[in-house]
Amino acid sequence: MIVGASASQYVVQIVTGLGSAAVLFLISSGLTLTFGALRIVNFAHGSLYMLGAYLAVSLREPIGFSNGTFWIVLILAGLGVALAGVVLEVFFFRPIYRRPLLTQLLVTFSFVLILAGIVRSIWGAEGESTSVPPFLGGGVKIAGGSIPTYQFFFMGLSVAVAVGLYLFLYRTGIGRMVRAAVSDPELLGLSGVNVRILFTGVFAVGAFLAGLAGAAVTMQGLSGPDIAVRAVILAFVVIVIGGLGSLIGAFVASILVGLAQDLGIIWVPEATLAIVFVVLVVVLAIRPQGLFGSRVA
Amino acid sequence: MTAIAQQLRSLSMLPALSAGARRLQASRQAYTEANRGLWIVGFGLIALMGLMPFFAPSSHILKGQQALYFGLLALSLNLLVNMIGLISFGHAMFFGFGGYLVAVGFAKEAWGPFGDPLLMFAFTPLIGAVSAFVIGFVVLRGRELYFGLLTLGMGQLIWAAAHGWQSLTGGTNGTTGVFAADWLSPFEHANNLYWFVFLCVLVCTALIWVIMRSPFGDACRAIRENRRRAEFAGIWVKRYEMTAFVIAGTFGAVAGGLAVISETQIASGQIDWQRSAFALIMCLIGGYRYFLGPFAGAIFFIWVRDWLTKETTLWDTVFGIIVLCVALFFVAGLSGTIHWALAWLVTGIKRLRGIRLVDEAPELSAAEHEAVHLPSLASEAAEPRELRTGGEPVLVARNLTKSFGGLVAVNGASIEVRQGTMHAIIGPNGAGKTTFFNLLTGLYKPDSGTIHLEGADVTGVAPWRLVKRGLGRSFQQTNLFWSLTALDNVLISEAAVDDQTLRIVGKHRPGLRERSHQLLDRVGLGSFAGFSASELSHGDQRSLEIASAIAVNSRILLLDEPTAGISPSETRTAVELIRRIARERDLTVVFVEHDMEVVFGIADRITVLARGSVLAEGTPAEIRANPEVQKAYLGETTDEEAGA
Repeated sequence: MIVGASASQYVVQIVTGLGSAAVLFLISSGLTLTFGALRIVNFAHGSLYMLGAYLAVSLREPIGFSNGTFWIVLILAGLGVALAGVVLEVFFFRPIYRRPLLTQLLVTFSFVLILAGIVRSIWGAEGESTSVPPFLGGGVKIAGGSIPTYQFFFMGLSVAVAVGLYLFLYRTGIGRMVRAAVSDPELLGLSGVNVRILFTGVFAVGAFLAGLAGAAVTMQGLSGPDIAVRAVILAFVVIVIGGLGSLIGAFVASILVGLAQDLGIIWVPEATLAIVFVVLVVVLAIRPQGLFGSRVA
Repeated sequence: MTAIAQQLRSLSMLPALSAGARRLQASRQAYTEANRGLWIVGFGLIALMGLMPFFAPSSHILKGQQALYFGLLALSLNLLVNMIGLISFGHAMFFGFGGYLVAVGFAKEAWGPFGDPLLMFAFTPLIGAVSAFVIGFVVLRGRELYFGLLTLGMGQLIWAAAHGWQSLTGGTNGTTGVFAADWLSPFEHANNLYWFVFLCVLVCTALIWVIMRSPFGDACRAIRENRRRAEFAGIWVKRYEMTAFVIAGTFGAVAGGLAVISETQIASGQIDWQRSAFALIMCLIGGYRYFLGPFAGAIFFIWVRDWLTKETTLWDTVFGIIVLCVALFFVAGLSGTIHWALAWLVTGIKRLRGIRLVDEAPELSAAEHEAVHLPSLASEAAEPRELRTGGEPVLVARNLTKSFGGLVAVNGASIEVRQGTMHAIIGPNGAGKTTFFNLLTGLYKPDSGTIHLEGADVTGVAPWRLVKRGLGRSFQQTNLFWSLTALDNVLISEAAVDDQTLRIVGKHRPGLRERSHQLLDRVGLGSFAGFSASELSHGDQRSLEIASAIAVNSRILLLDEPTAGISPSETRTAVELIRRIARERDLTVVFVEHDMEVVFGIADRITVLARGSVLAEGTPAEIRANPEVQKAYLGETTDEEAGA
């Protein structure tokens, strides 16, 4: 218990919080993107993230996790998860877009169970050791504390993803279609766009981001398949705070939640888990549609 | 909007086992007759559970006990899911409130009577109700998906509190060794414990049954079917949702208390979101449209999961696949499957006796029906028409303005509707008629301007309050409680407007059913009372909509394009119907209409809107002669309409 923490402790916790925020954004950007376009609440998103992490664990053996090759591992894991995402979308999610909410929730939830079992049977229920490319090893000394270098890599990666997604959505023709799908999928369908393929594509991008995030966090080490449910809950908190479907909202809310979590360790160590949900409830009590949400659902 | 309507329609179909297996469906009549069989199965199940200690080995008794309190948790959740259409993803939090109430005081000697688990168990309904009331204020701000996510967040907040507040709850290790009483010891008096749980669950189930069958339950189903329509039946939706949420929380907490008494322990892991998800899964697998479905689901869940964990390490994968298959192909769940099997049994038995069950379909529209049986209509229509000047102004709006973003939809529009008149609002497309209408009925709040209803200022008042003040409305797009019968559509409106539906026990007031039936007769739907709204022809749905608008005891009727989308012959019938009923009941009618023949045929007074403002107001003859109207309105429309 640190009461009256020093300024340097605050700095360390803030930087660590930004690192957590970066990972959170990587996960939740994909979730908010798929929700925005497909209007489906994908509980399995955390499981895709987990799948990415374990794929990376397997891939880093043959490929290696050196300065030059760890990129390949990250990208391949992301692509592998994107492929799984396409299968999921085409065969299981497509039939339920028009179904009642209960069906949608339970279909996506069923994949939480299915993927948890599959991953456990392949990779086991134990965690995996960390592995960090040499140039990201070690730590950066800030305000008397040491922060792992890979945390800064996470931050860089998530800013790159944010910028990339922004350019994709606002500067390309396909991105414009995706945004149109977010505001009115039915109208878009009437305008001659193949909404099915577009949806599959969006889902693949979301899954790719989840896989990429999962592969990246293997640098922190992996506690086990249970990361799936923890991640998806936090990602939901983020996108609900930010406003469902809003990319900027996800970015801001990731920082908010990441900081709340890590500063909570200083303020109320017993309630670090609760503090995130307190933020959620407070934000929604003031703005039910979330920080950047446009509609009151 | 239409997508939602379609969804509701598809839900209203008899338990559809799968879209592909349609031809496997037995007739509706067979399903109705199979209901009796379903009752027998239900009571058989209850008896089986009650007598379990007499024949089952102790390991199964233990599972039965689990199925009972998890079933109660699922049943209380289903009260939200099936009755009022709220899908909660955090229902385990109430399980937690009840459970921790029973558990936490036990080990703490200083807590005195609070350390008595049985005494505390008696208070579980209270803590459930109080916590649900508080939490309801937060989570009920969201609807549908947002509600689900808010309950998820709230549930996790409670979980995180239980997890982190170790000194009170014991965190992940939990509070253990909570023995309620000697005579309930799970080791020495396992059967006593079982029966105690069984009796508590039985009583709770009976109470939930009573609540679901009450007038309140009817109103909740109306909200589930169509929230907006419910508001215009005079239902304060939030209040009903809160009541249902509190009831669900109450029983959820009892289930938690029973769990602790049975298992003698509780830990934070037992109340996380997966527990909530499992409760939903129990509802789904068991068949959430059936009262005892959640128990069927709980029994399946407990035994099958137990068996799977023994048989395979991939138990969660297999279980996930089961959930997936049920969600995709067997939405009716176990109970629905039993119902289906019984229906076929009925069909088979009837066939053997030489009786063929064929569904009667409402092929003949009531409008045509009416035309055949009520020849007086034509003669009434031929009567020369005298314009009514009306009495006092009953609905007065002044300078209403409403804009959406940059678009000013209604700009300083005023209207004065006199008692007993038929007042039409017309205008070219995009004139702001529907927005104006929505302002008058309270659906939108005006940016500026005032509305007075029978002398009282009602600016910005919620629709349900306006309805209680005697304002009934219909919608341009048919808006009904789709899967409820025509009779219930009318009956619920009649009951809700006087707050009869706030009663959570008992039946509707005597005579209400007859009155509703009379009203249906009046609009020509008497013979269709038992059909669900979604099965009626479009013209009949319009009539039902009008009946619903009248059923709220309205003195002022606001009809938004009452003849939209119906055939010319049906239009005539509908118009006559409106006029007749208005005369009989001395109603004031305000209506938006595109069909000029209708407007000039029945309106006493006409307000013309153009670009959000009032262009002219006057008698039909004045409007017809007004050159500005001709220029701005009639000139712009097609020849066909202009010639009318």
